[in-house]
Amino acid sequence: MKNLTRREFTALLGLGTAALATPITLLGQAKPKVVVIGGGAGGATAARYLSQGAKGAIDVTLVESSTQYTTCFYSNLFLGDFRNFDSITHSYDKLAADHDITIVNGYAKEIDRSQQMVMLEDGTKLAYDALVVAPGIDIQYESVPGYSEAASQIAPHAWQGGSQTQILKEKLDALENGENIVMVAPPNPYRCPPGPYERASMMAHLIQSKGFTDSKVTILDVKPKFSKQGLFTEGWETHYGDIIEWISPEIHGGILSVDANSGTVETDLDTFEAAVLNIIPAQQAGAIAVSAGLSDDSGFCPVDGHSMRSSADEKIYVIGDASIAGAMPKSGFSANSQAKVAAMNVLGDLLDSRVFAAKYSNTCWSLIAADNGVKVGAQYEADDAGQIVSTSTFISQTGEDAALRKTTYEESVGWYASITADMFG
Amino acid sequence: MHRLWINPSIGSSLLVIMLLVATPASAENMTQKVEQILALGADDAYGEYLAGECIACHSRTADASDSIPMIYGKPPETLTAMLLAFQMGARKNPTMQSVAEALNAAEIAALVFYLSKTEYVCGESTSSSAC
Ligand SMILES: Cc1cc2nc3c(=O)[nH]c(=O)nc-3n(C[C@H](O)[C@H](O)[C@H](O)COP(=O)(O)OP(=O)(O)OC[C@H]3O[C@@H](n4cnc5c(N)ncnc54)[C@H](O)[C@@H]3O)c2cc1C
Ligand code: HEC
Repeated sequence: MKNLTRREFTALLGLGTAALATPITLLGQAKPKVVVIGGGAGGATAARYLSQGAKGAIDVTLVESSTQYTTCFYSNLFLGDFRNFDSITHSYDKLAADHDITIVNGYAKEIDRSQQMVMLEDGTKLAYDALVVAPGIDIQYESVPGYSEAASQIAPHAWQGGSQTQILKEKLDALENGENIVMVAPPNPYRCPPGPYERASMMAHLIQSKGFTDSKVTILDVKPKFSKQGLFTEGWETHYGDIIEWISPEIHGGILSVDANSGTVETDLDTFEAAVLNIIPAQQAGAIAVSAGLSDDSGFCPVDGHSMRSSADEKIYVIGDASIAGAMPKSGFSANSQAKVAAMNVLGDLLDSRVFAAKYSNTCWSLIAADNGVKVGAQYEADDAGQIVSTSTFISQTGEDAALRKTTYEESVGWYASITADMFG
Repeated sequence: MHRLWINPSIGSSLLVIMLLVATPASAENMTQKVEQILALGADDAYGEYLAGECIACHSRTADASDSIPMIYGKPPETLTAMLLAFQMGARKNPTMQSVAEALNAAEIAALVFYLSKTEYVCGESTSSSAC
């Protein structure tokens, strides 16, 4: 039987508004069930806000395949020795202890949309009245000729947190003077637009702090321009001289093939050799979102910007990197912000609680060198067509003084502590 | 200046306002704006939702970071004056200016009443002046 929303239920019984004060569970109805797939930046936040808002009136189940979560945000700072691995790794213990959330450690294999059921790899079936899909991204290995999941063990993408980040760190730590690093940067849209360039900054920082004079970082980009380009270019010149070289596709003419074993990237222009290859391919929504038919030709999932509700299914919300969120970049901050809008709408659907106009926010900080932080960000809302558009924006300026850049970096430290506490605390 | 003394509810934001604006005339203007916004009254459910944006940066644990100040448990008039100062560009921080620019009067009212009622916790290694 279909679970009724509170509005439908009270209407059915012909009850007036006075009855709305009575929790639906007291009226003999089973609690509505919400399943959240993915316990990352978006999913963990959604589960928390659902449980907080429902105050026990909803069963919230969070399905996550890993037992802990290593953030991609700040993983570049780990690569640059500004952070240790433990400080970017979070357990689900506090989320489970402090909130009314059932955390299931398992992999969601299939969504049966007609039965409103999530099937896990181990055979468990989870029925839902509303489903939040937050699986993040999948890597399109085949988008880079010669690259594969197996090759990523040698030439890591490190664009998903955890072991990939650690492989890249080990390779960077083993670098010797005279050996080079080559990064292949991804096409739009991808998670964290300034991420590759912050990472290149951290690689150059490592080279410099080891005292190496003959090692270089070459970025082979498939895009003719990139996020915060003016700020990065200025910072690279100031701090790293000619250690970082960015090569646009107009110059290298295209990536022809990558050979992880020999550490080479062949382009129209030249064949580049490196001791450390960091290959960041094109991306798409996590597999579960695609197999459930929630994505479009772009590989990501269209949603209504007023609610983050899937355009394909009214019982499903898609948040975070897997969604097409208009003007919002794919970031942990965006995912956290979208999760709150989705949770409010799920509560509205199931408990008839108040739903306010969607407002979103994002700031992406990047560290260029020690104490030299920059930021870009915006506030957003949904327009009449349901597209998410920005209402005010800001970006750090070139030529800012060192004190301001230090403050900007320190803000990001405060932000990391706050937002991870909001997700996992 | 005189107005500020005859309205005790505004008293606690006097210092903030005087620190933020250059002239007595603009202080009076600010005081009026604060009063107008607070007159819109509380809406805690709305305030709680809007505060979901703030908590991404402003932790409720006071020792999380000194670079991002504690905003919970402060008087509504103080918070309103601070948000208006960012909105008008009298106080400069690109992030907070953008956050404040995107808030209308009703949203500020809902937020500040909710934030003022929200408790914060002091962490173990706190150096925050809020503790
Ligand atoms: C190098 C780098 C730097 C970055 N820096 C920043 C930054 O400074 N600021 C910022 O805001 N963002 C940053 N980001 C982006 C940020 O990491 C992502 O945008 C964010 O993690 C997206 O959140 P999400 O919830 O959509 O996905 P994720 O955080 O990836 O979470 C998805 C979760 O779902 C789980 N999962 C997936 N499929 C299933 C399934 N079928 N069953 C069960 N579990 C499943 C995964 O295990 C994962 O835990 C950075 C990213 C990178 C790569
Ligand atoms: C992206 C991070 C970020 C977000 C989101 C954010 N703030 Fe801030 N906020 C800051 C920073 C950084 C400062 C310090 C600014 C400065 O002093 O230059 C600040 C300062 C403030 C202050 C001044 C406090 C004082 O004691 O001086 C207030 C008030 C404030 N914020 C309110 C809010 C409210 C309300 C929201 C949500 C609507 C919010 N902020 C969202 C980063 C943020």
